[in-house]
Amino acid sequence: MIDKSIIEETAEVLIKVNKVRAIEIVKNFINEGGNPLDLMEEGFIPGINATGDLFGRGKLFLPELIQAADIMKEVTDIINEALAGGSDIKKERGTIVVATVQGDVHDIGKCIVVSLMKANGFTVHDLGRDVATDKIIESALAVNADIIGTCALLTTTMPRQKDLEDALKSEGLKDRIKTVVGGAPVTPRWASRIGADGYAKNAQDGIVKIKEFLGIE
Amino acid sequence: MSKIITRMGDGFSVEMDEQELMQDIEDGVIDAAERAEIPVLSDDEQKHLLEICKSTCTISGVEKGYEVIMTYDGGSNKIGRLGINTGRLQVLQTYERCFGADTTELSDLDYSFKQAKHIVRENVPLMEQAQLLMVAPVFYGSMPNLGLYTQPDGPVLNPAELLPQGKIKEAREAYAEAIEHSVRDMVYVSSALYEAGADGINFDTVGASGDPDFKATLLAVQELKKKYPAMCVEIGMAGEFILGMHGEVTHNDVRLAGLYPHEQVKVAQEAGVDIFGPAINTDPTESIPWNIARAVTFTKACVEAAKIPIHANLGMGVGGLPLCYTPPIDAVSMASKAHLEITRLDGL
Amino acid sequence: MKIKDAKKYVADKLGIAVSELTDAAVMSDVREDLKIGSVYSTMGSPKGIEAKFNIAKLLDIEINSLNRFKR
Repeated sequence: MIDKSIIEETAEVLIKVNKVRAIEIVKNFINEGGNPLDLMEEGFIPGINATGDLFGRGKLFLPELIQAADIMKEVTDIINEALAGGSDIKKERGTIVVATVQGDVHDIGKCIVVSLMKANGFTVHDLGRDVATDKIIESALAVNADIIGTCALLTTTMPRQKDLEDALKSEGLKDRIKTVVGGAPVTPRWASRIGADGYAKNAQDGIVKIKEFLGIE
Repeated sequence: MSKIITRMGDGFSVEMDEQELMQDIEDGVIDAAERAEIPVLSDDEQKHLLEICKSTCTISGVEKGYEVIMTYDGGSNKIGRLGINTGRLQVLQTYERCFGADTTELSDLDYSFKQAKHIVRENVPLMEQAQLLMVAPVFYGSMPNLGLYTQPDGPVLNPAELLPQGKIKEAREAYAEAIEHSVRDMVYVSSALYEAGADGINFDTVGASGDPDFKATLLAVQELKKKYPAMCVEIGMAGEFILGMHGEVTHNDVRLAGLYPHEQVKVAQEAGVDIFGPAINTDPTESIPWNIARAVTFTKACVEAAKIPIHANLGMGVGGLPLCYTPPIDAVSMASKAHLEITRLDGL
Repeated sequence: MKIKDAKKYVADKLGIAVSELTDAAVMSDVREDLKIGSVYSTMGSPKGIEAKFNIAKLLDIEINSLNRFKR
């Protein structure tokens, strides 16, 4: 059981983007004989979830979220090193391919999603905007993606998300790769109608869905 | 307890009993109040909202005396979007004479000031003709759309690509540069249309590219009001809070990122805005009563903070309306009635 | 056909409840799925006479303009 004050401070260093203190906390914890995996699970992961939630409420902003992601990367590296060949925490995360669908040139929402995914330790391949269905599938296969996340900001480009589902089905890939759809006009009903595995109403919700699919608490 | 048929935020029907409906209203109110740190609706207001949401009528309406201004943004795009073949002047007349619009808007299908810049000389004579035909005020409207100034659509490095790479300084510099380009285009286009006789300029979906987008609009408004003190300026927002893409942009020492409608309106009116349109996003996974309660709570605080008229955005996926192609009229009129009777705003 | 019977006839043919005939949310999906024309003119969706062909077939009715078009 980790001391409550350490857990609270772990969240605080992420929210206040204090990288120096974050590294200090991890190093001290390891030096004192603590299990770094516990620190990650009880401290840093709830902390990064809190930053995502604060971003969703307009209380924290993208540059801070990105700096929090950088801290997460740094502490993950230190923890992996400390585990020295034991269970590598990065292996518990998944690979995600993200794209804004063809015909749609909006990339701000996707930028937020990608940043938050990185902050949560996922390996993210951002294909950019206006990406053809074929290219999304090709890239997902090339990187052995667990999940494809697509964004459509326009009602006129939402059908490309259906094209992706149809293509994955016809190529027999539906069981292998999960899909999550999002974007301003997208609804859970749309996700269900086209056969997508998940719907994300915002970036943080997307993280929740991805974790569910990958069996990460 | 008998069931009431209401809708979810995606527009589809759902059955609830009165207790569940009331719970959703309470939850929606609390969600807004907590997020924006504003007062909750009173018990009486929440009960009134329940009565509105219980309606079994196809259309809900307000009592005589509660009527407000009906302002339409993007008007001359929307009829064309339905596949109806008509010209923009006929559309303006249709809005005025068939839809009961109190203000109308001439706009371009490519709804961004950057794109409008190249065709402004085509729009000038059209605005002149519109003013000869129309009785209701005709605005010119468009979006700041700061994203169009970033690569590959514009000259500035793309912050949406720089930020995930951790290049925060470079992203912020890019935003500063994009703001300059954007202000120049907004002032140029707005000036031309105002001099052609436009009754006002509507800056629509402000903040869609985050806090720098809002900043650009405020600067453009200030410049325009200095140039044309009598110009009517309306701004309609993109979402319920200003997305912090830059995070440190300020206007008159107020940080723009994270501002909610009651705070946005203060900054806007100080910059010279005459009509303010808050936009509260609909959550498709929650019920319409939850969404209306939430939207009304945000908007009421905005109305109370404002010295200028508030014309709330009520459309697909905003203002408590369902997020679907053709929002059902029962939900549309219910949300409108709730806004009018509880927030006492000035227009929709 | 009187209105009550007409509503039931159409609802049965569309595979929905009578009350759903006037529900814009439901009808958006029905219109899209059955290709009978939608309020929004989306790319590739049946418009005008194409939608009328589908309606005639679905409702099993004769439409004068279609018959003349076929000639």
